[in-house]
Amino acid sequence: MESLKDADGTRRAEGEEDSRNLNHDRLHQEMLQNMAGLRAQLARATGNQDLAADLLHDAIVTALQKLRSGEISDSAHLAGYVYRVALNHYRNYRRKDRVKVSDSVGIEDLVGADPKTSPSDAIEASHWARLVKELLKEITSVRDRELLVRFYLYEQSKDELCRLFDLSELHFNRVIYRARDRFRDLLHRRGFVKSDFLSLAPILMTVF
Amino acid sequence: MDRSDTDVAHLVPRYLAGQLTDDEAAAFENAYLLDPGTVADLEHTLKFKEALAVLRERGELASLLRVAPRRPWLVGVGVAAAALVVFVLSVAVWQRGLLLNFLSGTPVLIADNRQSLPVLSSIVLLRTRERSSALDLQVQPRAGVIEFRILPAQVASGGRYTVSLIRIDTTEARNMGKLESLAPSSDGYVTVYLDQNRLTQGNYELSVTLMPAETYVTEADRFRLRVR
Repeated sequence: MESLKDADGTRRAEGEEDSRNLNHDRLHQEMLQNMAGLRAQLARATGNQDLAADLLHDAIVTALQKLRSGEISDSAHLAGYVYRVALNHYRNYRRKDRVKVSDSVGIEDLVGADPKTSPSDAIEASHWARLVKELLKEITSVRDRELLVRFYLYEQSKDELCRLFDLSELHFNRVIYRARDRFRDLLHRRGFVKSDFLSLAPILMTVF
Repeated sequence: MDRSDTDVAHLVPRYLAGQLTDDEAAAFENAYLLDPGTVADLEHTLKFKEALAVLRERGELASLLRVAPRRPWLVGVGVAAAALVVFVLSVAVWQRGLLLNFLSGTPVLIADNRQSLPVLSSIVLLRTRERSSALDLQVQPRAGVIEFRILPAQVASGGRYTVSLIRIDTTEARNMGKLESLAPSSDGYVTVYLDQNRLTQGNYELSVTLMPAETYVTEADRFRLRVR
């Protein structure tokens, strides 16, 4: 267990060794595939595709090690743990960048830097963009469309947006809730959600 | 923290945006991150954010926010409604004794006050660190303009600006006026005039954008006005 506390590089190297022993590559690929959104946003937050891949890789390896050591008792929690670790990195990078932002009204999405997205990732993101475009076109109210953009992309708070658009909380909730459900539906219909992590179960059963 | 679908719909974006307190974030992680459904929600939300970012980068977001979806069957209804609105507005304006002003074609936003409408007040707008509330405007019962001197946050040598006025409290956000290629004065301020008599009670957004503006909500300085 001592080796787990070593420097990142050492831990990463040990992780790679584990992956060889435990059919790790297949599981790793499956998780990466299911976490494409996380990977994409990590790349935006860090402005570096390779760093994002490393952070996600590190989170997956750490989670797998904890699963093996029993610190994660239920394999169903594995994905949640990976997100927890990776999103901590994500939020930390964003927090650093936010310090540079002088005004909440003008907050950019911290995504200005070119993350040098790989072609396959770019294609995938392009598919999501097409779905969101479709979703936005379905919404008849321009105000509701802008509400979604401001909430999700520009991260303006619910209170601020309700004030700005003179909206009730109920209306705001309805817009967000419907958009979320519709996007989920579109992702499923177009096959962009393979299994919502359920496909990890059979792999885990063969690995552990 | 009880988990409900509605909670998750809002907490996930707030968590990702870093808008939860440390305690809330910890509670969220403990309560939700072990739930596969919430993890899936996280992933969907991240994809949604990425998709919007891609649309913004492609410059497609502006048109999605401006253009109403095509509904051919509504065209006839729209024409009739527009005619009715014009009629009602004409009556309303006439009743306020402002028919001449309205028919003169005076736009809501005026780049330079050539018609020499009286300047009823002069307001300076500039972006601050604090989130500001809406600026209250009291429409006076006489013809005149309000002068706005706007100090843009974005400055470029030889840069020109677009100033837009949008009505934002209606179901469909309405463009009320737009002025392009405005040059700032030597002190850096962009000056426009608002014909106050063309405004009705409600909420408006006045924005100034350094040209060329490729997106709708990205670079603009936005100021909220509440007309009473």
